[in-house]
Amino acid sequence: MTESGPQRDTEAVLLVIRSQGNRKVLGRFLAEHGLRGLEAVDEDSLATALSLDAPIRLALVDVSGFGAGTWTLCERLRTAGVPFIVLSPSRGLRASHEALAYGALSVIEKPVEKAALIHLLKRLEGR
Amino acid sequence: MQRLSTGIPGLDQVLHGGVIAESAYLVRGGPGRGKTTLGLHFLYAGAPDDHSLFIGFQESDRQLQHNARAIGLDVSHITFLNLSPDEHFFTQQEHYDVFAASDVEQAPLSESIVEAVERLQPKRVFVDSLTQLRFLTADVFQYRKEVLSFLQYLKARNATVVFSSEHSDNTPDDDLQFLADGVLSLTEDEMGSVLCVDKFRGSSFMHGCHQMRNGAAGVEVFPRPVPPVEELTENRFKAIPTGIERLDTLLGGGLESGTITMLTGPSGIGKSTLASCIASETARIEGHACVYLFEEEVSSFRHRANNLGIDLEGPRDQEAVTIEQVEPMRYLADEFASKVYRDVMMRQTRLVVFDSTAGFQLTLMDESIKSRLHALAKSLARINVSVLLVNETAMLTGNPSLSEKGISYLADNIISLSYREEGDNLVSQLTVAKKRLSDFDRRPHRFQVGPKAVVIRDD
Repeated sequence: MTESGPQRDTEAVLLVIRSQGNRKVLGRFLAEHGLRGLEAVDEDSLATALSLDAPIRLALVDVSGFGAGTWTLCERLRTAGVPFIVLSPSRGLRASHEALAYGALSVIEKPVEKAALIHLLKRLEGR
Repeated sequence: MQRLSTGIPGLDQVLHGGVIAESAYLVRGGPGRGKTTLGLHFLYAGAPDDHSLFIGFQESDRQLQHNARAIGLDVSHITFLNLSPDEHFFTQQEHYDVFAASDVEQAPLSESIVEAVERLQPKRVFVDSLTQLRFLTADVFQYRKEVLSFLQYLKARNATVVFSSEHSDNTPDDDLQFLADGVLSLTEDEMGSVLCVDKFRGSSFMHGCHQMRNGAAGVEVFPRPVPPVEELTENRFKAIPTGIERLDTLLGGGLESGTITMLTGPSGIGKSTLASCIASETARIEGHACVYLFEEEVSSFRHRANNLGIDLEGPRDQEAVTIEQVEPMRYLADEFASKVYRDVMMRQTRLVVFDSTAGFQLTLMDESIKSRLHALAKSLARINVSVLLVNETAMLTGNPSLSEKGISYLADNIISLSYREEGDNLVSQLTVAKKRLSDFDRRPHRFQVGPKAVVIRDD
């Protein structure tokens, strides 16, 4: 599990993402907007992230690369009470249905519009 | 209006002096046509204090510098801004799909370019290629706006910009053509590789497509010869003897200077021998003569002349005659024309012999022989240089056409050599078939090629 962004004591956005490229661009994006990113690439690193004291505002779960394991990760987040948004490939209708069934706040198709994502993150700030 | 050299002399000639400063030019063409090389020439031509900048999206600096060195360009004064992905993109699996590439790449890319431009203040910029930007913009409108803004940004900083595009059916570049001040297309037609100027704002230029080569010396452009304005000198159309008294009589005094003469006839009848006689006589009394051989070896041409008592060796020793073998595929047709024109000016040549027109076509790999020969021969004739075209016809006897290539219209004078059947014998005959500037003897006359070169008899 790694961490990106400036402030350790502020709420973090947990990136549950297998793809290094996606973690990198999202981490950079969060940092540009003054948000702290935490990264988890598998079940173990997710468990570590959830065990930290750091408050987690939201998790972004990219279904790509996890296969059926995605839903175990989603279940963990739901159990831990961490709100999460699932990022699915375009036309990933089946994944969308399953994500919602596992408690996702929303499902966003990739590629994501930066403006829409930051709007969503800001909106969730006050939850 | 300040002009800048493109670094390619032939292209500068086509553009009537080079590109116009603080303008933007599009170089378009498929892969391997020479777009990047042309850009390197352009930057290389800049002075060190021009701070030339290469903005590349594809090849690494090392590769570009290596390619430049391979064609003899020292690019140490050029700054390379490499915006292509490094190896980490692959090895560290940095590809992504969470955001569109335009959202991720464009801002850092613009920042890098602005930083380099502000730091260097370049006078010459080459961008290879702007097609890459197309993939980083959300739609056609934004791409056009982005490019326009980018070019204006560079021009406002006194830079002259050359940028390339890779057009294909899937990625047409019509929009870039509208935005550019000039458009150079590197393409291929029946003449081989050509450069065409499709647009050049604010200046005249040489229209049409010009042969080019992208090879060991980089990009070379050979402007299509345009016949110069006719020189009306004192000795214009002065009759020059051929060296064969009888032939001069048939011709009404000789062949006028600055005219085009076609020697036509079947293989082996004596056309080259007759051309040798005329070259020798011109060298003796008029000035330099140059023979370009497209088929026969120089040694056999000289040997035959020597055996027939035609004096080519004396004038050769005195540099009054040059005999040059034109190696197959060495020259492009326009390149050869430039060479001939240069040779003629340098040696003050009075007569040029092309032996033969069929060889001209084969050696220069040019299907459009008519227009090529026309332009070259007319260019020479207008500066008062006489031209001899040796033309082979296929028919051995009977009434052969004067030229099966349909080039007889080019000639001011036509001397036709043919065979006539007399019983069991083939008799050689010479007929002056055309002469524009004087009366002439239209009758056929027997002739013989022998120890005294060409002997014409009265029938």
